[in-house]
Formats: sequence, C-alpha cells, structure tokens
Amino acid sequence: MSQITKIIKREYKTRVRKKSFIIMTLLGPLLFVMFYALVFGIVYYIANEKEDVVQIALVNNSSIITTFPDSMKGGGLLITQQTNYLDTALALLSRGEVDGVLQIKNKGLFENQELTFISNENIGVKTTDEIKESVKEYIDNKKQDMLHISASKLDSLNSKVLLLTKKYENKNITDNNTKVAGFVGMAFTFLTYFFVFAFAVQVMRGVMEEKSNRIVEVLVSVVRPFDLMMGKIIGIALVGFTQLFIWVLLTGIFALIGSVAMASLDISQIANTNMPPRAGLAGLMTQISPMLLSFTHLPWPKIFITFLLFFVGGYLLYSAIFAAIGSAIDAETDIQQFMLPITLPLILGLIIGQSIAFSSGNSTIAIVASMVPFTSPAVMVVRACLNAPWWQIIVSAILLYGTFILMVFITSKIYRIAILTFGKKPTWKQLFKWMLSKSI
Amino acid sequence: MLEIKNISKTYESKQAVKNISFQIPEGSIFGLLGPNGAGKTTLLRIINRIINADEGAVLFNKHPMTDKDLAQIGYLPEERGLYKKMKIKEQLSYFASLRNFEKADTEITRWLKKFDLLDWANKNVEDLSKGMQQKVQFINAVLHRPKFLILDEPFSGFDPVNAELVLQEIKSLKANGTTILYSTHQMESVEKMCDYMVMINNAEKVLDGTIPQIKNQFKTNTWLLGFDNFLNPESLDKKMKFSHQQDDIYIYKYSNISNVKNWINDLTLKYQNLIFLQEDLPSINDIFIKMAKPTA
Repeated sequence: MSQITKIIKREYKTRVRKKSFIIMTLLGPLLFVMFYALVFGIVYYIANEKEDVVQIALVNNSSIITTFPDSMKGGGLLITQQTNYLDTALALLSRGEVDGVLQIKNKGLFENQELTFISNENIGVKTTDEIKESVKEYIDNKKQDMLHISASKLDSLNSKVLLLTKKYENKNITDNNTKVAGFVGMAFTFLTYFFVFAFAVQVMRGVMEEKSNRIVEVLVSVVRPFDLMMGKIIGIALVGFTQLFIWVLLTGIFALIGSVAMASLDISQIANTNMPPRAGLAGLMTQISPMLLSFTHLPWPKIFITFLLFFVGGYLLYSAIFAAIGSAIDAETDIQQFMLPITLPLILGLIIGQSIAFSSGNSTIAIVASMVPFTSPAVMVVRACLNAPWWQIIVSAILLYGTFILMVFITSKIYRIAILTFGKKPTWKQLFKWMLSKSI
Repeated sequence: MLEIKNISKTYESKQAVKNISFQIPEGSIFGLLGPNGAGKTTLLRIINRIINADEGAVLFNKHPMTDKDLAQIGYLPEERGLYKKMKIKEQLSYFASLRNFEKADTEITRWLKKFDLLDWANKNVEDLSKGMQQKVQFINAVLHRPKFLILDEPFSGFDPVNAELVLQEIKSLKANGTTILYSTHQMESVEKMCDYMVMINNAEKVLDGTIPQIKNQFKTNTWLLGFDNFLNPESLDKKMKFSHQQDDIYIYKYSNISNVKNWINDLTLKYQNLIFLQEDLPSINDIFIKMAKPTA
C-alpha cells in the first residue's frame, strides 16, 4: 500500500467513525424531511385551525343580497346584528358588542361586489376567505336562479387562460421546463456550494490540527508533504461522497415513504371533490401537479454528470487552496483573514447560479461564470439543468481540472514550507514568497 | 553509519547551516549541541529529508541517503505531538505502517507493557497525562526498530522517574546496536550518555570529537588538591589557591603546571596530608557556555 493510500485510509476511517459524522449522516435527511414536515404541518394547521366564532354587525346596503345567512360558510363568522347605518354598527363595535363590522355596498348582480370589513384587530386570511366565499356563493346562486343554468355552466362562464410554453429545438417541439429546471438548478448549486465549502474547510482544519498539535514534524519525516496533502484531500473527499451517498439513499427512502403517504392522502381528498370522470391516473397527475411531469423531462443524465464533475472538481480546487491556508496558520483567529477572500468567488458563483436559475442560462455573465474555474462549480450545474450544450460543459470541466492541477503545484509549495513554520502569523506577501521559492 | 558532508542551508537571507561536516560512528550515541537558533533543527530536518540542503550531502551507510532509508530512521522531534482523538494503539499502528513495519502489533504490546501503558492502549490520546503522551511519542520513534535514531530533547516533559526509564531504554537501544543522534541542551546528560559530540553555534560547527577529547581541548593545566586540614596560607606555593570545602576536605587549585610528572613528585614530598589529586577538567556545560557566548 502506498503512503498516500495509508493516509487516505486514516483520514477516512477516523472521520467516518466520528459521532458527529454518524449523527449528521443519519439525521441529515431526517432533518430535511422533518423540516418539510414541519412546514407542511404549519400550513395544514393554519388552514384547519378552528378560530373563535367572530360576531359581526352587518351593514347591508345591497339591494341584491337580501337574506344573507346568519353564520358564514365556514361557521367561524356569526352575524349577530343587522343595520342599514354604518355609524350604528361602529357604535356596537366600539362598545365591544361585536368583533367586526361588515359593510356590503349596493352593486348590481353582474357587477363586482364590494365589501368592507372593519375590526379592532388585524383580520386573518381565513376570515376574509370565508366572507368572500360566502358572498360569492350567494351571488352565484342568485345568478343561477336568474339565468336558469346549472352550476357547471355558470362556472364555465369564468374564462380561464392557460399558457403553455414549448421549445422548438432540432425541429422538435419539446416542453419548456424553465421553472422546474430553475428550482432543480438552485437546489444543485446550493448543494455544490455547501459540500465544497463544508469539506474544503474540513481539509483546512485537518491540516491546522496536524500543525498546531505538532504531529506534522514526525509525519513529514516519514511521508512527503505532497502525499500528506493529497492523502488528506482525497480522504476527506471520500468522506463527503459517503455522506452524500447515504443522504441520497436515505432521502430517497424517506421521499418514497412520504410520497406514498401523501399520494394516498391527496387521492382520498381529491376523490371527495368534483373531479371530472375522464381523468385517469395520468390526467390526475396532470391536474395535481403539472410540474411533476416537467420534472421528469429534465436532462437528468446531463445534470448528474455535470454535478459530479463540478462537485468533485470544485472540491479538489478549493480544498487544495484551503490546505495551503491551513498549513500557514497556527491559530483559529487567523482563519478569517484568509478565508474570506478565498470563499468570495465561490459565494459569487452561488449568487450567479441562483440568479440565472429562472432565465435561459445563456446570458454572457452566465456563460463566463460557468467557465471561470472558481465560480464554475456553482454555476455550471444550473446551466446543465437549463440544458447547456455539452461542449461548454466539457470545456469548463477541462478548465476546472487544469486549474486544480496548477493549484496543487502552487499550494503544495506553500504547504511544505508553511507546515513547518511555527509561531509566525503569515501575510499574503509571505505566502506569495513561499509560492515562488525554489526549494525548502 | 551517517556522514554529514559540507552541508549548507540558507533561508531567505539567513544562513541556518554553514558548511557542516561530521561522522556518526555505528552503535554510538552522538551528541548534537548548540544554543537556540544555532541550526540544530535545520540540520536534523536535512538528515530526515524533511528539507533539502542547498549544498552538501548526507551519506547513510556510505551511500547518499534516499527516501527508502527513512524507514530505518526513528525521529523524536522537540516539537512533537499526537492525534488527540485517535486511540494509542491505532496511532502507533498507523505510524508503523507508514514506516512499512509489519510486526507492529507484537512490538506495540511489548513497548506499552514496558512503559506501563497497556491498559491505555484503546484510549484516546487526549485522555492521557502529558507524561504518558511523552512516553507514547518515544514509543512511536523506536517502535519500528530503527537502525538510526534521532532524539531531539527526549527528556523534556518527563519527571525524574520516567526520565530515568527513558534513559535506560536509550542505553538498551544502544547496546542492541542502534546508533543515536542526541540533540539537547542538557549538558549533564551529554557527559553521561554520549560517546561523541558536535557543537554548532551561529550555523557553524565549533566543536567535534569524543567527550574526553573535547574536555582536553579546554583544560587549563589546573589540578585539584584535597587536604584533611586547612593549610597555612603562608606555606602555600604561589600558584596554589584555596577553592572550597567539601565535607571535611579542604580543596585547593593549582594552576599553570608545566611538567606534571615532576610537579606530582614534588607535591607528595612537600604535603604529607594530601588526600587526593585530580585534574580539573572543564564540564561540558562550561565549554558550552564558553563557546555559545555571543561574541562582542
């Protein structure tokens, strides 16, 4: 076994056995799922929350709405007083005899109805929805009676406009999935940024640990500094892949369980609504979420290959730089001085990646940022989701890996000198000098 | 065993080592002495191939040293440490594997037993006391049975009991044929342990030889004379002066003796109550201070 393999093995073994790694690996997807469950739960709770019955005074100036129901559609509103004068109703409100005043203005049946709700406190969306729904239902019924038509015909009178966007490419008309692609791109760019940053920082801290606890002197007497640096970079990369792999696997399992549960819930709920009988499963899916279909139409092989290429390349590039920085500093307090200028391009890449996610991805800034090796790991994956041409992905990958090789050559020079320099806070000038030095 | 030939090294504008040469005979303990900043660590790093010399060569068993030879070298640096969150046994195994030493398990058990650390084998380093960690570091340097062992201040951090334990192990290693390069500031231990020594100051070699040879270089032709009573100052020779009293013995110094043989004959005839006679050789500590003193 070569020295570098032994170092990779140690780096990998010690890290994957850490409690923090095991906990984060197992809990990561669970935390994601729990987060979304929490969001879903909150939304569900708000939607179904039983509010206290609000007593209102109705000021009905409408000549059409004559027999307004005492309790509104959801049962949360109760009309306890009726008057034709707003002042009278407001007096009731100020005395606390009612919680709110609902004024219905006099409008024609085929005009937009105007309602005003006055209360002492802010009014919730649920309450306004209830009022609107109740009035709409009342007006619809009136219209139905007057026009002698069915509810479905009345519904069909409301014209709805549906705009489908298609793409004409290579004499084929395909679905344009910009919106879905944008979301997927954003997720991937964030994932790339997160992993590159998190694991490159681990490399830096690992190097710092070896330097600050002085084990490095013994290590470099047995192993070449280059092997030590590369062993650490590759070892930690494998830890990252392991974590990513387990996360994907567990998220897949959780998502499967979740989607089965959600599907059964949705279908049972939908079954109670007035769904057209023609639907079938495909139709049902189209009705539930047309985005799901767009999702399946994304260029997944291209996305996955690009993600892997640029995630690995980005990690290698940044971890080589971070390793050199870790070798130069002794104290935690010196980290910020070097970290910020180095992480800025990656953050810039993330910002550009997020901002182009809902565009065509072919703007000059998008193309340039996806070619520059310091920003391309975060940007190219978004462009891959937007179906960037293969040749651009390949050129960018060559540039990224080429820069990595150049960077290893430069940073290993800094590393082998800096790792044995103790008790001196380095400056950028010093790092540059080490970079140019011929030997140590 | 090891030959240093005209080694020079310059860092930016500072010359750390200047044209240093010496030979370390096989099976010896060789002292490397010098004040702080003299260039000892640089020299040790060059021997270990951690850094490269600008000029000169290091010969190991008469051939230019290569990376392959590193497996036969043990190194205990002054600035040393261990992985805090790694188990002792795993840590020792890891370093043994880096040195391509295959019989690590048996050897680890033997050394841990010897240093009373066997019960701690599966504990993390951070759970150990500083003294225990020092012992693990020493084991780490010798575990792979190196033919050549570099010890840089090996006794620092040890209490007297453990320092004695380590000293005995060093002697035992020497008895088994290990050649040892011992870098230190502890002059007393140099006199006790070393067969040869070299001293460097301001990047240059200033002394080289066996301990008696070096002491002889610095002797001042002064002898110590012991009497069981205080002598009348008027009866003393001009070159003779009272030095100090040690228990019931009065010690005098006699300097600038031209012919030692005749002087001893005269002395025994003149002073009937002379108890002992001993040449006053300088200690290595005195020599070190004299040589390391900054020049005005």
